[in-house]
Amino acid sequence: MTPCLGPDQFIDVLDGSAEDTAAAHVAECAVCQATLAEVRLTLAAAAEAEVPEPSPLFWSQVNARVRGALGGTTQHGATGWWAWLRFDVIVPLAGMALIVAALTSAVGRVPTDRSTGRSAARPGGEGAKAPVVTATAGEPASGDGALELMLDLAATLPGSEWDTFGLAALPDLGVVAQSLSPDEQHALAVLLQAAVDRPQS
Amino acid sequence: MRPNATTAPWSLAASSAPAMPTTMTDEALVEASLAGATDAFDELVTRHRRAVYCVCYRFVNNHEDAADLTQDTFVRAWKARATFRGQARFSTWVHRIAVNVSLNQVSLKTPRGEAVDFDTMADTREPAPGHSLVVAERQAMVRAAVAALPPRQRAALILRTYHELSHQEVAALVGTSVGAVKANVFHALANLRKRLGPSL
Repeated sequence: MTPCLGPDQFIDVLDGSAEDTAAAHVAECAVCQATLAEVRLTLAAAAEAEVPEPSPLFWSQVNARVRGALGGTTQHGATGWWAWLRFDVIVPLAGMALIVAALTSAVGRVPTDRSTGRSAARPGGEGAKAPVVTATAGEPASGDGALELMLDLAATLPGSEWDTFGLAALPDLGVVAQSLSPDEQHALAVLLQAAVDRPQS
Repeated sequence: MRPNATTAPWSLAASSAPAMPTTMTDEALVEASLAGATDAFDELVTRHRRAVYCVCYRFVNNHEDAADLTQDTFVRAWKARATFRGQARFSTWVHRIAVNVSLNQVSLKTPRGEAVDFDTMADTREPAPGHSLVVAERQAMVRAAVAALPPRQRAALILRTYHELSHQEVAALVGTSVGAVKANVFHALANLRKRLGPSL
């Protein structure tokens, strides 16, 4: 009888790729038969051990973690003060600046409620978009005076002017302001204050 | 509140740009990511994150390390995406990265693994086919036993058994001979048998 199988030969037998002599030996050797049976049983047990399913929330975390890890390596991986100059920030900022630029010249004509200091004027008429603004304008996000002033000014803008300035499609300015990060709110407030402080021609 | 500004390039892609069409092939997504479309790579992560996680988990046998290795795998894939030539499928390519990352981890430290006491957890009850708890316990014991194997035995067994790589492929990945891979698989199974004993 040929010598008992070595480790690699047992694996060949399991894979069905063993030489004929090895298979013939197993057919005659009780020791190798027992070993082969144990190896086969263990392999079957190992094969059925599945990886436990993680939390469903984990899968989205994978994407977020990879994004975070790549934040400084992507070709657009700008960090620093310009990092917040994104399209979804710039558009509302530009819209707000446009409102301020258009209204600062007329601010003296806006009647105010002396008890609150807020604008008494409220937009009306058909097609007016401004009421959407006034719904949240009373609670500016930053508490900054310039931002509050801008929201009050925006509340006075007639609906027709919203269309004139192409602002009808913009989201609720109050909501936009509240969605800004503290740094973004501060930058916006500085921008608005500069516009308000600009001498009128 | 807006996502962290440090993720700005990705958050723009995730929130403003349309998602990559799911009909795009992996290879097309790689091309798009090479052109700077980070959302294309995000789609690749979504497609392959589960497979990569499973590869990593097999090696380390715990969620925390597997999650770290999964992240590391995709970061390396991103950095090396220019070297992807499309000669192999992307899934195979990223799978190999995951294996290499895991092998490096295995060679660096002993995995934490799930806490399993083989003496006290040996299942002495009558087998109850279909009983999920019994099956889950046995699977946990097997995973822990696999994770406790010496690194080369563990790598050979995992790659051969769970990922169905050929002995030649395993040898190339591990950096050894085909004969050594077969011997490692055999000894891994023998060690598992000793550890698991009557619970098999």
